[in-house]
Amino acid sequence: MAKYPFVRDAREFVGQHFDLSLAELPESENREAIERGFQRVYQAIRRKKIPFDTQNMIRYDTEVVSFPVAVMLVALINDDMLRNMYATAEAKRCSELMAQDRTDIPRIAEELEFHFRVPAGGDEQNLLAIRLVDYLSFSPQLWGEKWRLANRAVDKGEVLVTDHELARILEEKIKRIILERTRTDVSDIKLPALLAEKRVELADVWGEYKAAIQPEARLEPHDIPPCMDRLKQRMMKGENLSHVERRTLVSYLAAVEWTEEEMMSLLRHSPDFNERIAKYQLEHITGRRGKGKRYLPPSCATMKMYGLCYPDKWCNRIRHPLRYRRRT
Amino acid sequence: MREQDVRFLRSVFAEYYSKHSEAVYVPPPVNSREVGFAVWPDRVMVRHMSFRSLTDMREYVLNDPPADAYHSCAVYESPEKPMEYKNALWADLAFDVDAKDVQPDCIEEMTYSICPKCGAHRKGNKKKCPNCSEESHIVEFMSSKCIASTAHQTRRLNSALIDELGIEEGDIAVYFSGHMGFHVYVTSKAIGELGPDARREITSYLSLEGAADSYSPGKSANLRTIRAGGVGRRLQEEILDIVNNAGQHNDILEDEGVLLLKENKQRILSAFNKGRTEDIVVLLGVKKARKLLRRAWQRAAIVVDPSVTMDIHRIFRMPGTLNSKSGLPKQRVPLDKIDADVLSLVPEYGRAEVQISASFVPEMEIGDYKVGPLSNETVSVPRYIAAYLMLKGVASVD
Repeated sequence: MAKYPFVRDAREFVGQHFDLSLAELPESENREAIERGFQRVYQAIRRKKIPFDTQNMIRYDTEVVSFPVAVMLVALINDDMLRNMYATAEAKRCSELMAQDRTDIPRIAEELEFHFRVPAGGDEQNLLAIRLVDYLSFSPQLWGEKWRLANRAVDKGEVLVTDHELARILEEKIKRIILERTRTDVSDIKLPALLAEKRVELADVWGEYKAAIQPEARLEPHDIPPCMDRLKQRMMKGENLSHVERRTLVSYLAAVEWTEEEMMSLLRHSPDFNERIAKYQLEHITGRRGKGKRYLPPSCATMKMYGLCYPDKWCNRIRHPLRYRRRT
Repeated sequence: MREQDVRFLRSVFAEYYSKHSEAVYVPPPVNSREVGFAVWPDRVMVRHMSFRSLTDMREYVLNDPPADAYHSCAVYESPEKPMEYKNALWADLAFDVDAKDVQPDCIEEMTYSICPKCGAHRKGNKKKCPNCSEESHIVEFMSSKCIASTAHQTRRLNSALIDELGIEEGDIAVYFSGHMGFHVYVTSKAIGELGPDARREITSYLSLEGAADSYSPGKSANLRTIRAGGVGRRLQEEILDIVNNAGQHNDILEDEGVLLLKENKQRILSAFNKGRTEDIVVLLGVKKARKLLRRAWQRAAIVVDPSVTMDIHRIFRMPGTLNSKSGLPKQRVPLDKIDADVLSLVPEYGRAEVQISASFVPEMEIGDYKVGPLSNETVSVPRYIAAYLMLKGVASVD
């Protein structure tokens, strides 16, 4: 339960001990939980991950209660970018835990009321059947070729996945649950003194982080094709783009002559942003590193292969996103 | 278009609606759908309308017969408001199976370039008249061959929707568009809430877009994964069909390959069913094996227009209304009657004869009516045929 603090029994536990009203809590007893809750968000911002050390397991109550504290803090800051960053980090943490112990996977699925069944003969290959609509609602086609529906066994409205793949889908589901919770309106809640303090502290940390991301220097070019515009908009919202999506977007922006600084400031919006890695990748794509080969954005056919093509009426006659022009 | 022609077309359209206004239909809930009309004489679009009931809408259409009528696939909170305030609640999953995507070459066969100045006509899509270098008028005439091939695709689409995507037969409605294609609607709560991304992925799945390069011999891992599902079955059928009709695939296999295929029929089928394409290579050689597998993949694809399916705000032609490309109605087709014979379902109207002067009409048939070839002639035809030719811009009331 301390491993997966968002699941149902943890919610009940927190409900009994904590959730009724934060204001009623005697601070001394929950100081540790509040500190740990703050730490969760802090680590999500600074390290883009929330480490799970076994020591925290000993302080079982603290660990469980620290989760709603963290959610509360994020809800108080009320910024979609932070919401994405925090939810992504928490979900990644759960995903790592599920990878360590695969028996957790079906348990978590059941707790999250995610429907699955073991198909006839599926157990030997760890295959599970999940509903097609559930599968599609997580847009896994963007996670790489093997997730494209055309590369899957689809039958009678069900899709076959391995248990590890189910874990990846659950990670996405967990992220959404946490995102949803951080959207709770908390403006009317009277905060205990320590929590109010932590809120101020977090606002400073977040303000500092955001200040480092310069406002986007460029205005919308008139003729950005819908596929690239979509990637850019999602990036701006702080969504976690896959590697292929990032590479595609950056190679496009480089080709329409964005500067490296402009691209970096866009990349900083991503919830798992890492300055060093991002810079390395960017230099690789623009040809300043490696063999000096400059990556061109993919053709329309490749974009379709990736599942990233969202054509509009002006796309009919072109074969490459760089050729996109809106004619009136 | 000449004024008297527009007047004539309006009277034919009015005749249709006066006889068949009860056929005009919008899937429920009617009052939550956006409705749009293209209105005579210039066919200007009027959008963002909504009607309380089918009765109200039929009355409206009867009073002022439109050139074209449309409804949204989406169900909105406020269908009459501008797009950004409509708020879509859910949307039918819609497919457009059109000859232009399915079999472009059959359309080409019935495409003519006509010079508006000297009247010269040539087959195919030619921009300029060779005699007077005037810009050509390009006309696609109806072809039952095109309709037959789109009908075939539509049947395959329906099977995939039912067997693979798990959609109930009762949730599927198929319509002949009135021109050269079919529209397929899926109305189901679970599917209706899917967003554009998910809808896009469904069309990719159907057309096997994004399928890993499984026709490369040796890359069988993907084939082994999909074997258990619908794509596996589709491929299996195509392989079986190719193997059984090896002679028809002479173009890729050559005589030698055709012979090998016939001799090793069972072994090729079993290699494929086991997902061991490398065994097919042993039998046919790398090049022929790749060509065979590639052809099977191509044939296993179900072609639909992705931009129609993914756009939940799209408006679709309204069932039971006339298509101003042809003057024929969009018409519901029972799932077991999807074939080139759809025109026989068109209800009776416009049978009275009228004299027209036709500039150019190739030999063609519209349903059971044969017309052409005509070249600068005056003939007497039923009113609906006259309307068809006028809408194609090749005839005028005499």
